[in-house]
Amino acid sequence: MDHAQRLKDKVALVTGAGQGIGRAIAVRLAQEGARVAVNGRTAHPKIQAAARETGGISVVADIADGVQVERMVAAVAKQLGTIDILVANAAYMTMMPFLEQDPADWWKHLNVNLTGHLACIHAVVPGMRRLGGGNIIIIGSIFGIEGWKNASAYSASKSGLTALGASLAEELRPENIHVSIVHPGVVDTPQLQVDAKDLNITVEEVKAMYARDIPMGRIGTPQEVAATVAFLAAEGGPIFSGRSLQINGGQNRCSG
Amino acid sequence: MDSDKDSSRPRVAVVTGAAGKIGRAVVKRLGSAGWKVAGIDRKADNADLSIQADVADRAAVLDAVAAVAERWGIIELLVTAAADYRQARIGEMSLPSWQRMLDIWLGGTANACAAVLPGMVEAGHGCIVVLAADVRPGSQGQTYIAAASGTLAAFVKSLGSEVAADGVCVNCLAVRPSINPDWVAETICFLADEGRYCAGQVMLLGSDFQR
Repeated sequence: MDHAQRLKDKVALVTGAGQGIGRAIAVRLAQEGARVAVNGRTAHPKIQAAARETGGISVVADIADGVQVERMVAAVAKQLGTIDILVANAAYMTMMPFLEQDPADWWKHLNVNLTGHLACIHAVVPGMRRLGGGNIIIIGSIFGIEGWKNASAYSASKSGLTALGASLAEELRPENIHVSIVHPGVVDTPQLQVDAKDLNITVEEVKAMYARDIPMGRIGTPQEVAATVAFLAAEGGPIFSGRSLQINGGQNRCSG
Repeated sequence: MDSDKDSSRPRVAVVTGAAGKIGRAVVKRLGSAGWKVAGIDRKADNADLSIQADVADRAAVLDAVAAVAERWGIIELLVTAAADYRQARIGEMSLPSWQRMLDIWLGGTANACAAVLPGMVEAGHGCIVVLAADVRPGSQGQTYIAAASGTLAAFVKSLGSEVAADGVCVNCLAVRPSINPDWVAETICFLADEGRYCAGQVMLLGSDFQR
């Protein structure tokens, strides 16, 4: 697909870009002219493939480890230039009844989904300040707005991102650094295979099950989320700084 | 995606309140993106086709939209930007004035949606962007605006759910009176082009801290 070159020569880091939404975002930003670094927690072949697909580079780091994050951001700056756009997408998720969950697993959700993004933001903001601006797009979740059964840790971790983004947006606005939050609904990603296995049904049945609760009658595509991120990385950044956008086919949730 | 762009026929938009500050910016932005734009306003506007009508008049709005469809074909986008920002302290607005505010904010929006929806549903494709006033936390004199315009949030959430399955995306942009009109126009372009998995949503634009 032919896209406008709205992000020509911008440097973007997309965390958790090996598959699903993160990968689609990395591909879309590259199509818009950005030089993209794709991050994965391990040097998985999918990360190498994503780097090839975007024509960019792969950077391995566990975002829950602040030292690895600093090293990653320095490596991106060295190879591609100072980061203009951070897409904080990486996430960890298990589903478990609250009382059965090991506290260590609870903390892993918080360490990756909330503190991990904080570490990435910490690492990129000094560079954005030097550039005189930047765009940070945080990927939240529909679960983070209203919660979800058996996903208390994941929901709590994602919920924190909304307040983190809104607060940072006001703090960084005078420096032309914009922070927005995207909450995808149910999206067609490899996670559905996990859901299908958990529920002991086929992936197609999982999609149909989710679609029944969506006014638009279908689940979303990673490309639809990616298009929204591209808008926020371009003209939408200042418009939606501090704000949340829900991409969910009408399955909106209210934060109260 | 963007199947309408593939045909040589220009995409068609209707903008109510087209002569207002935000309306004019929307008309201009859509025009520069290649849309054919019809404006509906009591005053003349800068659209390709300027129809002078009162959005509160259901028959007039139906006639105006029918005229646009006859001239250019399927209407893909509706933007409702007609607004009434009259201020009065609570209890100090006359009943006819209050009724007029409701007639413009809620009635005008419903009239325009009723006019374009049958065609959009038939086409299985359409985008409606409803503009509402964000006057939170509200100051003296703004209660009437907040109430009349606030009805649109509920209207959009319901209508958005109702017609989403027909391929029509209805969303609301809640904007402060001081918003940069170009931001509104830019967001509308996004929703019409690539925001097609958004439906029934009330989006806040701009900062709460910069009014």
